[in-house]
Amino acid sequence: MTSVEIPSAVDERIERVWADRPGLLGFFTTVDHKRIGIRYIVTSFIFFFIAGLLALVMRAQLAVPNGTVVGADAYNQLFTMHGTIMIFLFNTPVLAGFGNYLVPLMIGARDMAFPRLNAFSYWIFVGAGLFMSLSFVLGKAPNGGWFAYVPLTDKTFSPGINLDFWGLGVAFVGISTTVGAVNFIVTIFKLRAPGMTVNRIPILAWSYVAMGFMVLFAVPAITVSSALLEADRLFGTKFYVPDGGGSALLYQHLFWFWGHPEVYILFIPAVGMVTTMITTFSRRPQAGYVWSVGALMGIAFISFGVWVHHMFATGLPTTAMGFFSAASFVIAIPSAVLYMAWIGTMWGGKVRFTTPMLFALGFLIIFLIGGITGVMVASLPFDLQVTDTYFIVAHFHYVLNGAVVFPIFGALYYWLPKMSGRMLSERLGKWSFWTMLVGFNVTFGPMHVLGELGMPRRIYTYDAGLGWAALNMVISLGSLLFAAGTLMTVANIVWSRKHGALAGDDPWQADTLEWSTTSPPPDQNFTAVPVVESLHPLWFPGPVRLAIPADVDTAARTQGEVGALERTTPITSGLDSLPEFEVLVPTPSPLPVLAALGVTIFFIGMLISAAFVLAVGGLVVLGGITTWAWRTEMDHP
Amino acid sequence: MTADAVVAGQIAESAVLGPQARSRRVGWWGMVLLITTEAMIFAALLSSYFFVRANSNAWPQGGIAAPPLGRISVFTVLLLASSVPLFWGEIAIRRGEIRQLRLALAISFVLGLAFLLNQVNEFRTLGFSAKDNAYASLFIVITGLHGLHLIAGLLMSAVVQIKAGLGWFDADRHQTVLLFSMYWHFVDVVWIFVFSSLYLSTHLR
Amino acid sequence: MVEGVIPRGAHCRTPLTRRRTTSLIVAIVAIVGALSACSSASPSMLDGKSPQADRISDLWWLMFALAVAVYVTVIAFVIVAAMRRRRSPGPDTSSDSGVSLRGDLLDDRVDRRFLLYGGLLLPVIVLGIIAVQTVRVSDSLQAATARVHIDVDAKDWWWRISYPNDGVVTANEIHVPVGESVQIALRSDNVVHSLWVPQLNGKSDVIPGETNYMTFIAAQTGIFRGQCAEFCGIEHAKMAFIVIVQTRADFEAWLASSRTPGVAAQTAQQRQGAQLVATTSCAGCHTIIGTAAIGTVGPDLTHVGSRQTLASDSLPNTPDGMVRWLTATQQVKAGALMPQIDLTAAQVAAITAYLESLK
Repeated sequence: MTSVEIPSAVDERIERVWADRPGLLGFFTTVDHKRIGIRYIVTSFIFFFIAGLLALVMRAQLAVPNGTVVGADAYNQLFTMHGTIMIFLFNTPVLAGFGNYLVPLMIGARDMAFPRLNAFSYWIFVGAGLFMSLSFVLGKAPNGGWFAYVPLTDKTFSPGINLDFWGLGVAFVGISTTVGAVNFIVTIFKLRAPGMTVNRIPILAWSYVAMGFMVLFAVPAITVSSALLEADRLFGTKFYVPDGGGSALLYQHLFWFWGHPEVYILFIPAVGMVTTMITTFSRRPQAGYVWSVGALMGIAFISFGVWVHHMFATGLPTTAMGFFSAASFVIAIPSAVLYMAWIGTMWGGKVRFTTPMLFALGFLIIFLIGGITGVMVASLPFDLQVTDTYFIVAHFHYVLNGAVVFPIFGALYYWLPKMSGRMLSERLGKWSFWTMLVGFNVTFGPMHVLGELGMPRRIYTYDAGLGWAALNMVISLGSLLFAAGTLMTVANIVWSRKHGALAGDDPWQADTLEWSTTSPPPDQNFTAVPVVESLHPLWFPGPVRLAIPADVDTAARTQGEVGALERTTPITSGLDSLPEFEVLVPTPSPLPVLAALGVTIFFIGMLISAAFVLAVGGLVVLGGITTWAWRTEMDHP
Repeated sequence: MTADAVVAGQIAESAVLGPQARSRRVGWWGMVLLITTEAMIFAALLSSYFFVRANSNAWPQGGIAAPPLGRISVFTVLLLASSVPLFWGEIAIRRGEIRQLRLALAISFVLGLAFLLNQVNEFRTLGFSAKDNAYASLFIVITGLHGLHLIAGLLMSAVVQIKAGLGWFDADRHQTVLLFSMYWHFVDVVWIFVFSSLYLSTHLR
Repeated sequence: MVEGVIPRGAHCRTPLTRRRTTSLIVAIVAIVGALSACSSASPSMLDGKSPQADRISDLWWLMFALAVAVYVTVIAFVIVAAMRRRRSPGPDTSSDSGVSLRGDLLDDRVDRRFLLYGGLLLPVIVLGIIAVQTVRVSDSLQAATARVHIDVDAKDWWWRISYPNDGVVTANEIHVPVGESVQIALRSDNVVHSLWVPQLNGKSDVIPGETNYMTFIAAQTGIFRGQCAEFCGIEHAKMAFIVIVQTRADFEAWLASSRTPGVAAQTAQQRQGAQLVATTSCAGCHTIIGTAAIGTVGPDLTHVGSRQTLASDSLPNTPDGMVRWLTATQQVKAGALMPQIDLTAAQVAAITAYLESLK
């Protein structure tokens, strides 16, 4: 249903209240969640294609035995950066970007709870991304593997600056993820539209709540694991040095305590996206909503109890490993519940095979394989054979590429029309999907077999006569196909800017609140904040309600034009979502980018061990944050 | 009754009941979550401490003596005591008594500063360096990180005291005070865990 | 009409038929791949030569069978669900919203059946079967108390093998007697490595500061390939080794001959080679018992002539292989800790002759 008709003079005034500053100043000072969300997505995809290119070079090297495309050191940098960029600079931020864009719209708010913090988290991501990319420019990219095990990565065995880019960079980017998580949780708890009670929160929003909590509990572990690594490297401490009384295994425990929840941190928002798209294109209310929310929380919780399954070969006591093996089996159950909810939704519905729906179906095909191989490697004895082999490479690409990237591509086709106002080409979209699907399976399917044939991971070459050559060639060819498929979507996006059909408010006849406003939405999202009465507000009971009429008191009026004119967004109570008061949405500010700049300077100081630079960075951060917090009582009465 | 009317009624009610009926501000929740994640940093470090200890024959390693309890216990009491004025200060400002708040903040600051100065002194007279062995690294980094958090708290306290000095708080608007005091209590609670793990537990035989 | 939106009522058979085809292709690739796992050229974990590897391989086939059954069944449901046109009350044309069914007429029971049976019951059963087998296989991996004890020290980027009870030291080859329980003690004084011989056992990491133990029984004689399976630095890819499984008699003979110092140099060229080895930088890193070479940085060369491979299975142990290793060390294995030594062709030939004679 379309948004409310308002006299255009008011429209113009509202627009001025919410507009960003013009030009470059506006670029650096915006706090608008939509602009920030789109930026996250664009920046992440740049990293996606960089990391993808690295992978294509790797596959060129491995296509034949004793390949000569790159040497050992170069290859080691390639696979380290491919993994590091894909996890830290693509998968995590792109999902943050979609969340940033969609969550306030979906819950009927005018922005996130902490818009300036939101901008800060983006600029930190940019800073950390540039910081790590600097290593390429200097030809000293990290080369210790994306998980950088000690003692290989300590100063003795990795004397160069390469690993410092990694150790510092990982802690650096973690700041972005952490404050982003805080923002998502508080936004979804406190900024929902009136009437959006706990049982009417869209599943995508729930997935960001689950993700947010997981981030808060998991990211500190990797912050500590890399901080201690850098302390050993830069200051000569002995945390991980066996000769100094330290423990090499400590690193693995800390790393994987974060590492395992991280993959679910990626998977869960992707699940939210898939559920949303399947619901829309099955044209019926979602099956098993409560079950699905429970399953998401179950996965989030159990994911903290399985990390040792990455360490099955390290010689830990069998009883302890048995516990982790069992927990790793159990986590398959909530995943199965989610899967069955998707089948149930389609079963009772009438599926429309649009491009986003195809990507969702592709996800179902691929994720089932990834989940099944996950159960297999949860079995301790089997894992002792396949861990650190191409079987594992296959497994995690099925779940991190197939089960996260396919939903992301589907989300592009689904939500880009809302963001840009133009549809993407269905024809090109379908070509892209099928190419990606076939290319993906031809690339990663045979890797399962290679692992069982004895091919370990992270080797820059292999001998002829081991029976691995044919499959490696097939895989390398498949990777080209997959890459071509992804590029088709890029072409599609470029094409649609000028030639895409106009989307209108709700091209998909979908059910969630973002489709009740224009495409793209106005800066304030909603002039009239909707009042929500069901889980599928645009389907039941029908048109979106108006906000409270203007003659009720201030708190109520802020949900209508008055609130839009005063640049506020309503705050509602936690569980039953009753309006309580309103907060001023901060105006555009240079403080987030300045504070992020300070943090960047600080990390550069650590990298080059320059105390002066460190101090400058620290002072900029301190100054920025103090200024930021200075006017709290004035701005947020 | 239409949904509109029901919601309108509830809004009107909350407006009538006034600010005390309002739940916590978003900033408060934000600080709670940030504190949660910071607490996990210390949890990870303390877990590392006990992990390395479990894998060691002697503890402390390398012949280092177990940390003496005398002075640190006294200053621990001072640090924990520094939280008490803040409780009083919060109640005061909720009644609009900004002068009492200023006094509370000042007392808390002095106590916290005393603890910090003692920590600086402890560091100088440790007798070992972080490079010596894993025990030394853990001890120095954990207490050092707590110290950094304390310094951040003192800086925050300074900012809050300046704002209080300028008269920027009243009964309804004092969010910075609440956020600061929550952070300060967090720093104290962390110290309880650090003290118990690094100091007390090494004397339990 | 907006291009992106398919008008209601239009059927889309093509995507589904193509999806079935894709699933079929995937299945065929998987089966072909699985069958090709029987290739005898590969050090395949499914080509087990020990009770340990066999049990794990059996567990794999059980899980694979369950996987195929689950996958085919679930995807069949996905396909049917996507193709289904609901038979319950027809489209609600009164509202102009996208949904075509009124909420109160939805049948919850079908949804709940999927969730209960597919989401809870099915996984619990399948996982239960796998879990039980996992525990049984896990327990059975404990081989009988070993009589043969071997120490393996993982180095950058080679394996030092020693038999402490027999006073034998070698490199990159592990000799074991067939049918007897062998225990390997794994140590590293540098970085984390992992010992893996797919045909004989699951892998075990080698972690500095710890000693890990691996016990297995080799059931057949033969030569089986192993490789380091934990990224350990620049030449991780070239840290392979072989396991030579022999009869008890042969094993004892090998131990006996390995205990003795190398055969003394006989021809003039070999004597020249021996002299070069003893007086140049070779002696600083390598040990040849009975000579001046007493270095321990690199592999023990006392019986290097009798080994099958060089440089951790990077080169065959032939005169040509040895020449290549000596003249192009850093080309064969860039980053190896053995530097490129400056030698004339004649010197290389002499050293090669000598080392090859050390049987």
